[in-house]
Amino acid sequence: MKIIKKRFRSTTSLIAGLIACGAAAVATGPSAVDAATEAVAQESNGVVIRRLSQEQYETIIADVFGPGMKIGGRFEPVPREEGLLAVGAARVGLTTAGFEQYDAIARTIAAQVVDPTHRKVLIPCKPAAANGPDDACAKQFLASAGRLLYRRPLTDREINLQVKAANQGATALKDFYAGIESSLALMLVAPQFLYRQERMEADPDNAGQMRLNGYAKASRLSFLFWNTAPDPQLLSAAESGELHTAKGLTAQVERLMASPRMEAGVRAFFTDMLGFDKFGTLAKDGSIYPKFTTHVSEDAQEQTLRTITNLLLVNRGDYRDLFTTRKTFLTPLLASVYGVPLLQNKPNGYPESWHAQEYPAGDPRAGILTHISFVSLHSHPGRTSPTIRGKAMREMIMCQRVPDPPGNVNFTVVQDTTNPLYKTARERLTAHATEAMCTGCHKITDPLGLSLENFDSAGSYRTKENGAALDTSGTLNAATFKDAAGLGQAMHDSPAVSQCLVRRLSTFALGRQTAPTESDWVKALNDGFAADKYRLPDLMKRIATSPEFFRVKARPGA
Amino acid sequence: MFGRNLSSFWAATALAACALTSGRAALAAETKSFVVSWFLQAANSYDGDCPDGINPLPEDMFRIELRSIGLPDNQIEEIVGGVNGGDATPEVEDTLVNRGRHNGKPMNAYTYPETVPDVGFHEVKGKYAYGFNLDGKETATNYEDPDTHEKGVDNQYWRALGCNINHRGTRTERPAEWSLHWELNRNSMPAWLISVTADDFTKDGDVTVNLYKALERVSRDANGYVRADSTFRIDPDPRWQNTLHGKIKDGAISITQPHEVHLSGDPYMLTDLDMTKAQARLKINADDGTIEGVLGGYIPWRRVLFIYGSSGWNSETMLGTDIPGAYHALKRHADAYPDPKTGMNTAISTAFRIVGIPAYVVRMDAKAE
Repeated sequence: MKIIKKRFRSTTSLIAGLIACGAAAVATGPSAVDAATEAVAQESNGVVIRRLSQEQYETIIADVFGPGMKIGGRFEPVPREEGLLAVGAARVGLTTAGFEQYDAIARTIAAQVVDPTHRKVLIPCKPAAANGPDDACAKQFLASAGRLLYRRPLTDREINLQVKAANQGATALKDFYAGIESSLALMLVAPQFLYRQERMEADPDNAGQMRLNGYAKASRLSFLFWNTAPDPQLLSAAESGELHTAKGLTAQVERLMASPRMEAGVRAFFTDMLGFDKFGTLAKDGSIYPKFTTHVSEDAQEQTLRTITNLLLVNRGDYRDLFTTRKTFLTPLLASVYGVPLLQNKPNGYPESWHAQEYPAGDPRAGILTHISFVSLHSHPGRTSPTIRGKAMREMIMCQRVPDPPGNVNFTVVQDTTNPLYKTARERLTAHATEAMCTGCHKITDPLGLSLENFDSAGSYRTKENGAALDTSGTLNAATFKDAAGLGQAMHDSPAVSQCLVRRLSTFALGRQTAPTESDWVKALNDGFAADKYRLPDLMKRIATSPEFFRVKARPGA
Repeated sequence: MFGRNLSSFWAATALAACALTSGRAALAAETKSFVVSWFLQAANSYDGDCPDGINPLPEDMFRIELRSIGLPDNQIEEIVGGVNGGDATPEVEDTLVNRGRHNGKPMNAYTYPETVPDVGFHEVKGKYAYGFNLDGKETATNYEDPDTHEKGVDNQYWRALGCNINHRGTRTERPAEWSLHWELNRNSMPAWLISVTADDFTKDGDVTVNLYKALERVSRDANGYVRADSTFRIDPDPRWQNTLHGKIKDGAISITQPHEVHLSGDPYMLTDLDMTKAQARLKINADDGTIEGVLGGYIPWRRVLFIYGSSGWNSETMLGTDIPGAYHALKRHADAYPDPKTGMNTAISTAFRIVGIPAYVVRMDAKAE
């Protein structure tokens, strides 16, 4: 924690310094310095400060200023912690280059907001004179936009600084809108916007205790269910104190869940849990897998997310069925990789569209583990890896830890796919695992991964490797199976799978791993999940309406 | 279950309004379907097949033609020197495009190639060329097929243009002219489909080969090749549905009943492939599931000329076929279907190499419609 705190301090100092030095000569340094100081002061036990993900950033900008805003650039990556980027987002600072990227994007957005087309819609007032400052009009716009961007009303001090920045900009540049632009750009690089800061307040119901304030609660809810900042209705509920009551909280949770935007929250969670960020660097050897293109990579993720949201949200199905379902969605591109016929039935040149598909009974493709998004992501560029696939299943789906291989392992036998003695991955791994130091881990991973050997590194179906028939039998605990469909059923039946979902989702919601002191809560969630027939929305509601979701500890000495 | 042999499930549900050709023709029959990935002149170049030499490149052809219309050498050199690989000034391009002469007036050499004197393309005089004995005769202008050793092979298209550098090629080295045309145009033209039906591909017996025009275009894979295992609908227009009957023997498919073949192509290449007395031999590669072979027959020679003439200046300067020269050569070597009035042959014997990769081919079900 000390390290994190130190890093955050240096980041905020950096932000302040950069803004003061270069952002705009007319801008006020004190605004950023104050914001940074205030942000650091909020850091406390149980309170998590998370950097916005790129998707969250983009969604918020679209929500506040409209979907037409062009947002270029790419944010700095976030480390995966506890299996989730959502946790890593609470443990990252910002480099100089990263801040420069934010600054450039902020300027781009601010310029669009005040351009002649958008200002008419986005700025709710007209300045007294376009060639100079108008504090009243500036305040009206900046307070309104700031409330949505900071996910709370701006303090008087904050709004005064923003208006002052706008005034100075307008005066220096003889342009009211240029002043708004520079002030908005500052707001968009402020820690209050870039980081999800959670503020505490004294809990009136429990003397000496602290609680998250209404706005912090609103943010936790909104980012969990919609993966974006609270909407005005939720902010109003925060302001009124409604979120501090069980009835008010439940009403807002149900409202969020009833919205189609809940799909965004579910997608964000599974995108994180399934490690889809790794698609950004996924490559396949085109000479071996010519069908695998970047479009396939994009469609593969979408296929799995559509399958998930259709089963869990549209049909309110059992989470465990994700590992056995034969229902999915395909584009013609994906169909060609899977080797199934699929008609677009549209004129040439139309973008490829999605079609609901159902594999017939007995088809080896069942469940999301047989999707391209899993088998290709957890393979080498030129060959499969039952070990990597097995490790991914253990770690991602079952929340089990598989140790990294020792540094001095000889992988030659496994890597040589041309050795006539070991034609299949099973044969190569069997030979490799005879080394004592390797056996332990491979026993954990390989029986799972080998059952997916019918799917090559690109996700296409095969029955042979190097001319040798594939043996796709495997085991998981006491369960034995003969192929991927059997693996899916074993995963479906494994308690570790549903328990892992509870663990991941609660961690995702909190932005941190649950503490040992929260084990009762986790157990209750697991029990509730089972009682709810493993329905994800019900689990999300249980998390969001439980006191533990918002519980914070009083600052030592408070 | 997978590949192009489909389960009844897919036929019943995934493609409700369509009937899959794969595995659906008859209970006992098996159908394998493909999308054409390459369609090229069946080149068979080898040392000595053009004893008179390879035809000169465009600049030299221009010199010959400009000289024949009476331009002085210094003016010719000035014009030809300005060609600059096709990046000529508008004046130079205009002069060369209009190098035909009619009553002393400039004429467009591509629209009116007959107004440019014949430069006399060298012809392929070698013994071997791909194709079929289309007329049942063996004459001095026939070849022997290098693979089947069938005699009396009629392939005058090869004779006419096979000594141009951009037509030189072999089975494995694609000729530049056709490669470029096909590569550029297959993205925009409807895909061509092949469906082969036999009772048992592992045994000798009857076989039916269907050639179709698809409603869809091809898509590309990561390497820029045609993507395998895509799904195509057969164009319901009966004009583009061709059924040929033949035999399969030792895995080799041959058409034994010559038939017409009509396929719609790309305006910049083959507007329509109208082939008569078509024959084919094909072989399915067991390793990768592709099909490859030769399709031969007579096609209107002016249709062939259009391949070159349609892109005129660019075709000449980039690909190197002198278009008036091609006109004269094709006309000279045309060998079938004489015009009743003029007696001039209207068609020329050809042979094309055809390659297909696995695909799903579906027919729009009339009943469902």
